[in-house]
Amino acid sequence: MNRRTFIKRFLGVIKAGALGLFFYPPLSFVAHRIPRLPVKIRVRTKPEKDMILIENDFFLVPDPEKPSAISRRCTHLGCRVNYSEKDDLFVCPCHGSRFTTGGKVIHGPAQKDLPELPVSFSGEKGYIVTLEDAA
Amino acid sequence: MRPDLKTGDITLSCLLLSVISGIFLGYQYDCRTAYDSIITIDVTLPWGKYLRSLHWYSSQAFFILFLIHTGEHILKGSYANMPDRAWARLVFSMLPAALLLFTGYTLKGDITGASAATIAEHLALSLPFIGDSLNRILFAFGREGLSRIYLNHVLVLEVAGIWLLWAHLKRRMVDIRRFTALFIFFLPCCFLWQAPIAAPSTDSDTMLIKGPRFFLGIQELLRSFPPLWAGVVFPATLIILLAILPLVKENYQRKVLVGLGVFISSDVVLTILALIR
Repeated sequence: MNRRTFIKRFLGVIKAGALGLFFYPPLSFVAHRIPRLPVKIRVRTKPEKDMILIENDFFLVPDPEKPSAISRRCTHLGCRVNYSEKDDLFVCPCHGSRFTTGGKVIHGPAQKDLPELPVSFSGEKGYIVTLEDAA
Repeated sequence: MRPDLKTGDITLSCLLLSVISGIFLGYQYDCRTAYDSIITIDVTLPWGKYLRSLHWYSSQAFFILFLIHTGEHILKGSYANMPDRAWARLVFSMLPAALLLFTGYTLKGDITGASAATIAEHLALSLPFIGDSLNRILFAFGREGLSRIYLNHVLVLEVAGIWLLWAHLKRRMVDIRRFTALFIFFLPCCFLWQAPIAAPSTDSDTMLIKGPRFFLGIQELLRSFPPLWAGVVFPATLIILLAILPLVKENYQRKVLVGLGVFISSDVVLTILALIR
């Protein structure tokens, strides 16, 4: 490599570094995730026995003693799963993953169970489900 | 001698029609209540559904013609008659073009759009090292809703596209007669077949979603293969094959073209499988 080529490449590296320094602050600004508090959803519906309540982001299996809230976000690629009454299963409409009503995966391409969400029963105030911050 | 199909001119006219109709739609569209906004445009606002249909038809036509225009010039061997960097810029302009179509699809806020946005977010996140940052810039649908997708759709992707295509477009003007003819061609379509809208994103009865038609092949592949391979590596293969076309020796170019043919054929087969599902 001769001197001219070396200087040319060296200046190219400096230029790339300068561009990186120039774009780093605005890209950091864009990529920054503002922390948010978990969202609490109150469900006041008085359901019948063995009924599954379908909310926007979770299924609620109401039981005053042991309620459970299962996320509706498919563990494959995040699509909202729906409840098939015919099969008594949760079905992902995007790629066909299937889960039991307990959230256990029984058919792929999802490989993980549907996560459970924190839920509590407060008598007259109904059920309170906590949604964690999204990705 | 092959006739010049003027696909480039028609593509540009479709893009211009899409941009103009999009600007008008933007005055009444609210990405924070996307689905309600689209229904309001369709049902309540005067000429709303025709304007949205015009935007939909011109956008679909733009992308189809973009692909045809690219294919026409691959077959003509145009990549051999321009600097490698110029060809690379044209090839990479497929990315903002595809993303423009995709983001527009998600902005309806219906169940298909919301699912598509979620899947795209997770595909971006599947990329090692840069996935999180890339998602924050392009989608961030889970945390930010449609706001970033909307910003990219109306501004960022256009700027990226213009930057990549500037040398290609700066000498070209839209033929006003061709533009007018296209507008007249699309008008009856807008009145006869309205732009589609599916159920709201919170719908709980849908058991099967078919995504945007240009991405159905990828959707089918995602049923069986890991997200990184099916959703990122597979579509990236097209860009890579196109970009290396002028860089390889002439006797290897035929192999690259065969590779392109295999890619397109497999995508067509996968799309058909997805459609008949």
